[in-house]
Amino acid sequence: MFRSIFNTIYFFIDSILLSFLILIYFIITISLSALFFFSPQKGEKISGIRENLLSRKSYGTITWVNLINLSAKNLSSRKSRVLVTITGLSIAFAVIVFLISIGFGLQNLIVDRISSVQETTLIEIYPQAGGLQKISDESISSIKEIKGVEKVMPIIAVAGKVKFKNAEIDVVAYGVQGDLIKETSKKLGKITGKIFDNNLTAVEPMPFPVQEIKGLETVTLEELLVNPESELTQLKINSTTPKEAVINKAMAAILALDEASFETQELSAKFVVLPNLLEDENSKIESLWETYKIVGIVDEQDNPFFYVPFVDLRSIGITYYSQLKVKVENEVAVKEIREKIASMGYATTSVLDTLGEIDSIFSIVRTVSFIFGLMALFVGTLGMFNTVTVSLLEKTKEVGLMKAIGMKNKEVKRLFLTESMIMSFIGAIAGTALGYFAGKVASGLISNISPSKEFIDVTYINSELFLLICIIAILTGMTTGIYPGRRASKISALDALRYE
Amino acid sequence: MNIIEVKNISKSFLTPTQEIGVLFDISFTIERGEFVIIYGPSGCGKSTLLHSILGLEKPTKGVVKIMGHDVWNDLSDDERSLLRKEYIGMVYQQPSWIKAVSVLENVAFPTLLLGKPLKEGKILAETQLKAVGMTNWKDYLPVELSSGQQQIIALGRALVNSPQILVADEPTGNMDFLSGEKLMEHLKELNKKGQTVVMVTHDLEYLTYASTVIKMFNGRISGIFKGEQRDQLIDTLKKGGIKKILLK
Ligand SMILES: Nc1ncnc2c1ncn2[C@@H]1O[C@H](COP(=O)(O)OP(=O)(O)OP(=O)(O)O)[C@@H](O)[C@H]1O
Ligand SMILES: [Mg+2]
Repeated sequence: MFRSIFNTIYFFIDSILLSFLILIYFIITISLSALFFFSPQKGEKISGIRENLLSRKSYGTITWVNLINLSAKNLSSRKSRVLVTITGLSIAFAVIVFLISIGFGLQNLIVDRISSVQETTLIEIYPQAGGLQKISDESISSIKEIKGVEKVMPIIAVAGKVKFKNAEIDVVAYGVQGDLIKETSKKLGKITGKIFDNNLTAVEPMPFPVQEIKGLETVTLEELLVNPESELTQLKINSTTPKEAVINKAMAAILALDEASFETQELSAKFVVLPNLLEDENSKIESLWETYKIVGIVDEQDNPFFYVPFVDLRSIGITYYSQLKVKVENEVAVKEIREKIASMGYATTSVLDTLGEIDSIFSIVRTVSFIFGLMALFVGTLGMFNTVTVSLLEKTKEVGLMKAIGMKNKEVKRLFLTESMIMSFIGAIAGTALGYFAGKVASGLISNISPSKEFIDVTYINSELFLLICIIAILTGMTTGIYPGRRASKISALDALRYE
Repeated sequence: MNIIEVKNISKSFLTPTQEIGVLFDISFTIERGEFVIIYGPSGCGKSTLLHSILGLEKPTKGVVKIMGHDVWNDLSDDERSLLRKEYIGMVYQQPSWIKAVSVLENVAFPTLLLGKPLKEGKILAETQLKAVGMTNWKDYLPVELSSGQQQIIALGRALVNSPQILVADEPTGNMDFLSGEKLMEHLKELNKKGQTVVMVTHDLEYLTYASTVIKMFNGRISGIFKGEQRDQLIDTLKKGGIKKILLK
């Protein structure tokens, strides 16, 4: 029992050592033949190095280099059969490399696309559904206290009415700090012009409303906003910040704004506040018309919207905010901070959720591909097993001879192990190359179909995959070499000496 | 000291139906530098005897000592392997080869088993091939040679490690008379230089080369001819008394 465990461990170490030696042998041999090709004299000199390098100077044991040499010659004497076997095996490796590299590649592609438009270190916070936990100034200050939080940026979303030249449109308006635009610039795209740099969140002087003017304007957003039971309050925007607005491309398009000369343009806007942002949910607030200078255009063009300084909207009496964006120091901190915020009663989202879902989908894809690969490998391994076993049967006499001359059982085992290791390695190397190129070809085909026509690489080979291939190669060599080796070592030397 | 010592060995094989005795109570000793020819009719157990001495076939009874080592009682399998590759060169009755490698590398193979680098082994093998006049065939595959040629290079392979003992089982079996003579002359030369030779044959012609003749019959030794007795035997042989020897 103890002995057999020891033997197994010994066998593993021996096999791994053997595989390294085989690799060294082939690396040296290949470089040697290259050297011989270019300069025969130098090659001659260095071929001695290979022998010395791999010669274990233990008397009465065949050296590694001679053992590997002999295995290689045995294999090359059965070229066609060995070639077929190696081809089968390399296809299996190719399937594994191809499928897994495409699995990783596609995932990377998607993740890259997502994280190129969304900050992974931003957490979005919303009031709890049902309005139980609203976002207020207290929320901001308590979230700011959480360790790892760098910035807390509130957003007020209101319905905006905009007059520009002769047009009058309804768009969404966001009251934000200049910082928020900066932090979400990935999503917003290129900014033409500038961002307003107002970062204030509180209005001075407080408290408000400071000025109430009733009945000056007719309400036009009734269908959306106005609760017939409550009175509409109209307020003047009461802040001293420069009246600057940043609009997006979609809005610019609607306004037919000339992007080349937008910087001299002004628009008039008024804001209609949704009741859930107000202390008294039954009240209705709307601002008076205010003139804004358009200072910048962001590339984003899904839906028309524009940004105005946070304090402007705040000043018309808003106490609760639509959303917070929390910037945290790094991705690792996201999970814990989200949990803390969620425990305060807010709803949170992060792009990492999406990335996590993508990862779990692709890990299934990878697992399935790997199982396919393993099935291919199983078939390849059976083929190899067959080859090695048949060659053993053919070589009974030869093995007997070698033992009669004085080869030890261990050396006989190693000889067969080496043969399958060599086949397995060549299969793995050829298969990896094949799978790699198949992946590139697939990428080429996909790129051709894609509208942009630029080359999209859908494959990705990481060091883990490489390591996996190495381990599988060694295991395949081991499992197919162990049985024939064992059988060979039991062949009697007398088999070589008998008449047939 | 005796280089080979065989004491009371017997060997029987178990077949499914019966136990067949092949060797019966065989004893003899061989000294360093002797040229021993074991001679006897087909099937009398000569090869079996050699295999027992070489540590390949375990005798049912008895002791075999090579250079003082008790082959069957004191040595492990690996040690018997070591003994063979270190001290003994063997020419088998049935030539067999590593088919994937050349004649030269086949001849060099026993040196590799001792851990020598291939380069050194090849040099040693070339020397042997030169000695038996087979240099021109060194790059052939062994199976491409005639059976007589195969036996010649088998001798080269047996000698490549400069063994203490050369054991040859019918080394001239597939040869014409002249080639056989040539090979025997080569063995004689080696023996003159001190090589111990143990050879099996059923060919009476070659008994003249022996310093000791061991005659076997039906698994038993029916005579050991040394010194004067050996000379007498050769005399009778030369006088044409072959029948007499055979029936003796
Ligand atoms: N493994 C075995 N099982 C059963 N019987 C065997 C075995 N090996 C040899 N024998 C028998 O032993 C006897 C002697 O065989 P051996 O090969 O030693 O004869 P030999 O003297 O070398 O003959 P030859 O001159 O023809 O080579 C034979 O009758 C043979 O059938
Ligand atoms: Mg025989």
